[in-house]
Amino acid sequence: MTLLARLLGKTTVAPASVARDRLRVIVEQTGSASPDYLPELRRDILDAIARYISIPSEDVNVTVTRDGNEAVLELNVALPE
Amino acid sequence: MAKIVVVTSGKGGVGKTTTSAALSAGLATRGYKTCVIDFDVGLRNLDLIMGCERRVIYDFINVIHGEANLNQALIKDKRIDNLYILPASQTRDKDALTTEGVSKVLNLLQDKFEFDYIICDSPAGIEKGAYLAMHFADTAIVVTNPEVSSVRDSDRILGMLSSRTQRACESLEPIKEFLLLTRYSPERVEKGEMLSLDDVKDILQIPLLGVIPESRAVLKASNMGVPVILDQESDAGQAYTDAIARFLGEDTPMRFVDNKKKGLLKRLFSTRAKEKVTT
Repeated sequence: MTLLARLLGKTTVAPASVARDRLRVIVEQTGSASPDYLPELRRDILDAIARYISIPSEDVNVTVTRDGNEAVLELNVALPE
Repeated sequence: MAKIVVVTSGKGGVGKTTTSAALSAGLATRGYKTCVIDFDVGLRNLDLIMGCERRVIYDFINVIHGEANLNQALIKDKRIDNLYILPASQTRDKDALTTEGVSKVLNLLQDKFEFDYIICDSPAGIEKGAYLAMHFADTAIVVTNPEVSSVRDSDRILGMLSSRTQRACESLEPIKEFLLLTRYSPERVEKGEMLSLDDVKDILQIPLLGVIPESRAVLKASNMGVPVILDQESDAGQAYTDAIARFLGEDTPMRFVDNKKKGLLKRLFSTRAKEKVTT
């Protein structure tokens, strides 16, 4: 951020940090570290949820994170109000 | 009947996906119902450039293999009416594409979905993905950088366009070919560091659709997942708008091809500064 922008108190998000965040999401979802059944699993979960409520596809997140020997399957569904 | 347009180049990294995103967004903004298809199976990126990566559930390969229908796979753009994205598969490879499959999907997009334009974003190379992206096209946009390897690869692609497309194989009216010169820097051309527009036109001998200047706006747009043409304050965005006007048959003067001359004030100041030094 330039000095002037900082003095004016402007808080614009840097494009590079938007890029970093976007990449983190998709690399976690489909990256080489995650099993290839994830996209299909995500699809099946979406289909199951869609039988009861309608939510946009981007509101369902399925990720696998590894911590040492343990892998955690995390399912995140944002329900509409 | 929808026009099928392939955005191709042979060489990678010259701006095919950036161009496909800009072209499809620009045509849709002008009111044409437009679909942009990612043919880069296994290395999909169009979804990222269009900013819809989190909305991909089904893809082109799923539709070809009958695992999903087109309605499920087409992603409607959230910013622009009339714009739809058909993403490539990330887990398969290019062998999952078949001539019959691609033909079937293109026919559906033309007849059932009544698109005006179908933009095929070709992968780099001259293998199956690139071949199928161009095979059914009516028009080809050859994206070229003012750089030796890119120009040679474009020439190779022009050879493929005139011999291996459906129009060539069935002796129909030949495919229309246009040159889009990207990452152009008039300043470096003036210094003699870069091939000029005339050099490239001279070698490739196809009509010029436009010149996109080297621009910081392109990286910014891809960071944000917004087609650069939507950044109308940027030189690249304006240059793409001009190129689309020409694509639609309008007569638009070429911008961003001449080195900006210094303004009067700047020139005055720089001579004064020099005088000061000499006196």
